[in-house]
Amino acid sequence: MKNRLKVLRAERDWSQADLAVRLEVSRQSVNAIETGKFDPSLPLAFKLARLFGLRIEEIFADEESGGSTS
Amino acid sequence: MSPHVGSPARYRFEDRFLFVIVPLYVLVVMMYFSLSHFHLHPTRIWAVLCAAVLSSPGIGFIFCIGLYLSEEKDEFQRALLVQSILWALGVTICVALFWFALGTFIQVPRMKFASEQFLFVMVYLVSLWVARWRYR
Repeated sequence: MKNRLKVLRAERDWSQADLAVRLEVSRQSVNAIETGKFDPSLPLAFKLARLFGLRIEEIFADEESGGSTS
Repeated sequence: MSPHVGSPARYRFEDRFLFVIVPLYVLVVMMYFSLSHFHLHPTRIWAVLCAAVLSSPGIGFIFCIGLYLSEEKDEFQRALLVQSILWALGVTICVALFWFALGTFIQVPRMKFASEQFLFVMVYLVSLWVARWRYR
């Protein structure tokens, strides 16, 4: 699953560690989600959306449906 | 919560592993070698007790893992742990089946009970380390 985490993080000048603290997860988790190696659960996706003030579909895009993150 | 260090649940799991599983495993190894060294063959209730003690690290391990999975809030860390356990279970079952199958064709020494548990723990630790290194 594609996502805009890296861009959103850069816009706020947050490191992976900063985002990890805000999400209460490990930095490894943020890295794995960011690189698309791990898809977060719905609760974590909602948490991310709340943190960035966006909707889930504005952060994540389903590659199979050809959707792109705006 | 600091992202650079493990979660409280992970520390608790490591503590339980160190103070529960390791002593139980030492007890199993000591008991196994005393039984074979002194050629003891427990019967009835003693056989049941010995079997219970010998299987205690496995039961303790499942208990510790269950507690960790219920306490760990980080779903990715939970996924890594489950992945490592599946690797360890898979390798242990494969090696045990291979050894058993080999034993049906040629004369090979019986696989030691303690060595299966040791193999499981070793594969689990290595696969967990590899998984954490992969996503470092």
